[in-house]
Amino acid sequence: MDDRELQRDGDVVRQLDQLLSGKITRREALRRLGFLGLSLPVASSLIAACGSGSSSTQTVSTKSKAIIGIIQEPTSMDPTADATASIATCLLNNVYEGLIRLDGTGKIVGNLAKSWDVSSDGTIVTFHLAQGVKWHDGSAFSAQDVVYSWTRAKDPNTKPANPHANYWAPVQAVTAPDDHTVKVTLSSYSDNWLFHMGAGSACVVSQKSVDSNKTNPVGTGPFKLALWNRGSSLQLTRNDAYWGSKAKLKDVEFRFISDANAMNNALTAGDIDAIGQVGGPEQLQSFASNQNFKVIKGAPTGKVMVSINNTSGSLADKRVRQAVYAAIDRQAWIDGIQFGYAVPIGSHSAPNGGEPYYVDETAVNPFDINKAKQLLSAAGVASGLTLRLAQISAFPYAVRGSDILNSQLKAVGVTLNIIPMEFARWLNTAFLPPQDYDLTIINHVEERDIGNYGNPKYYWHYNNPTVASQLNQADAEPNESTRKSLYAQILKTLADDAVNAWVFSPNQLAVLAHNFQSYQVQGISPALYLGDAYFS
Amino acid sequence: MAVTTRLVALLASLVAASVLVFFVVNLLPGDVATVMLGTNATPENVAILRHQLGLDQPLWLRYLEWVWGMLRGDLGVSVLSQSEIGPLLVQKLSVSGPLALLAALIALLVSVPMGVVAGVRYRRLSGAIISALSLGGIAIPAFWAGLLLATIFAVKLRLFPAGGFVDWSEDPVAAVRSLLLPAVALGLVQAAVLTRFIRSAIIEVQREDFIRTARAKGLTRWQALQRHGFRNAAIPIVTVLGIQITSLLVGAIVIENVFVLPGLGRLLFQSVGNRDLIVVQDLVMLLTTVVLVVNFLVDLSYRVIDPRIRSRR
Repeated sequence: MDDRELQRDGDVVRQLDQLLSGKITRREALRRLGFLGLSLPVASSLIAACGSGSSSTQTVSTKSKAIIGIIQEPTSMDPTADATASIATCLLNNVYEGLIRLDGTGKIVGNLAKSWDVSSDGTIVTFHLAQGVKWHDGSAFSAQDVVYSWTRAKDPNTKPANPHANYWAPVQAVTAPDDHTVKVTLSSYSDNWLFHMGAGSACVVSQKSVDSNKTNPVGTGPFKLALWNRGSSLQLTRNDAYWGSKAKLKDVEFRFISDANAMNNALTAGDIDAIGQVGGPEQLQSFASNQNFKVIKGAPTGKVMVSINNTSGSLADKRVRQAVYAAIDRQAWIDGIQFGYAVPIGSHSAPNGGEPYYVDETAVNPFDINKAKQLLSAAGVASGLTLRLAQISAFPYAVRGSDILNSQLKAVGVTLNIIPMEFARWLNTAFLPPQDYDLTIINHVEERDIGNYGNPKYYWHYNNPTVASQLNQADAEPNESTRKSLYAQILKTLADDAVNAWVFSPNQLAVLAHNFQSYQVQGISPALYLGDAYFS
Repeated sequence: MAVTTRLVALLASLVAASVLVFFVVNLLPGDVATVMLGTNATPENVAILRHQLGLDQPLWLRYLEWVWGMLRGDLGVSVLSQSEIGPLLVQKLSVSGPLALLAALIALLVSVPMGVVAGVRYRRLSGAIISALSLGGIAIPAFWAGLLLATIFAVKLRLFPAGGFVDWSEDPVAAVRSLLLPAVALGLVQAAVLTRFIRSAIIEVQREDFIRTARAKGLTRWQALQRHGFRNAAIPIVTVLGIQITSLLVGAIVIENVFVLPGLGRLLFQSVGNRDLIVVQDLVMLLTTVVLVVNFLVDLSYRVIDPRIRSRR
């Protein structure tokens, strides 16, 4: 290829670019390509390959309102008061902002903080805040708001207490040397602390509006509240005074549709533009083959597991827990619950950027019926063992998981007694005394929640002082590779002890109208961020 | 006099209902504090939150506070969203009320002519067909009818929205459009039940002595029914209608979830799930009051329909 040809190819590409961006029409593009010496059939096939109609454009469409269907309605509009996940889903990074946020891969990126420095011993973190930031009520945002928000979050007497108050355990003091700088003093370096500042409960709130945030959220984000129609929808509208690059969409509506059929109908009928949360992956089949829609597969997020009460009856014997784990064929769960959209896991971490310490431990407890039977007879419970499973009947994965577990345990001679309950009752059963249960199935969605294995009172009652001190050591370790090897040891010990039976990490899924662009699948970040989204 | 007795009975029922509602609702395992804390709950932080929310106060004290609030017209504040429950219920009623009324209207418009025809011609083919249809209708659950209607009229034909609700203040026509499919789903199933009751009431009344006497005096069957039959058949029908209105409200809970309508049913469903008990109490109390008042009105209507009841007391 000589220079002239290269030059001509460049010109062709430029013309096609212009066509794609809508600057010239299809006819004009044909004419210009003709000038460049392309024959008519070649030119028109090139244009056809660009997939552009005569005057239609690939630029931002005039459609400026997106309607997203999600399963769970927020219980309030204040993510600092309530752990309900859908509050952060709808509001974090859209309405409320934190100093940092997590991108689609779980990486920490700046938000209200443009940058930050960490002192050499890791105990002082200095944040440099964005300038010209305004609250939705018009008042100016300053470093004092961060001091107020984080001091409030740490205080156990805040009414109501922050659901993640323990995130601030390493924090000794939060101060504001000036209006655009926040200085945080930690008792020792904490690798997880900064990550957790991307959670909904760590967002910055204004002291002026904090008491009414539950119904009338005031944040600094690219959208502000337009209307919360309880039971139906949450409508946000663009914040035209936003300090950063303004949202492309003018209006966003979250519509709450708990029934999977109703959700499918709504998308098919064009009532909504996206299924933001896919309840059952079987929903996807009707959309995968339809060119009006696209199915987005995000990173695997969360840990779906059979949690084991390590102090309940024969489950206190490690061999019995290992036997339960050996009876589990992970692939049957992945196929039966996720239709293949999941990755098998073998310890308490998921393979995504949010948990960089991930190690594949599936080989420690492989599916092996004979081994399960041997372990049970070694433990003296070869026959007649009955285990109770606290089943959250509102979660489809938990219901299907218990059926699969039932048949898999039956194969090794263990009887499963399934006790269905609602989520609220399940929380009380597992988390409040007397914590009387044997097994349960739950997706631990919170990233970097491995610290719970250091708390012997946590609902699976794992008491291993070595692991507890290793966890503290790992979090306080500033050196990345040392930290990773510490976490690797912990993950291995947890798998060896079969504390719980970790089964899979589900891929985050969404179904969108085909022209809905730059949509960030929710998952690693608790937020469903829509600041970049638009229609083409 | 009799009306006063009825009224006293109504008030006594309301008081009894409030006790029952409060204590049964508070017996539900699980509470709002654990829901708010989620999987981060520890016995310690749950205890602190319960104290902050006043959930550690004795049950009887909370009952008295609740009743005293209701008597003053203050329904309280949702624990989770901190919003006033009174206006919230009014807003939800503006969806569920018209939905139930529309469904009842559809049920009556369909069932009265069908039931009368089926009753009068019960030995003929047309009567048998209506009877069979209504039996089929009873067998269909309202939510299934709703899904079927949504698939046909919303997804395939795109005549109506598949779900959601446009507020009355925004667009009244669109509001009616979003209520129509769910109302038909609810109404048709109710119509099937009513049709069967009307049919048997009409058959029953035709066997009465006074109809035979009327016919002997020279009236046609239709005239006899019109002058003497319908009024006598009305009592069992009105009774059933009273019960049906109750089941319309309950049926609305399911149908509101199918059609994503922001009504009382969805609010009840969500509040029970989140253990926002004060909302549940207020809502159940509201539904109970509606049922009791409807029954009171049904009782009163007997006296209008049948003068003998009036003179007996």
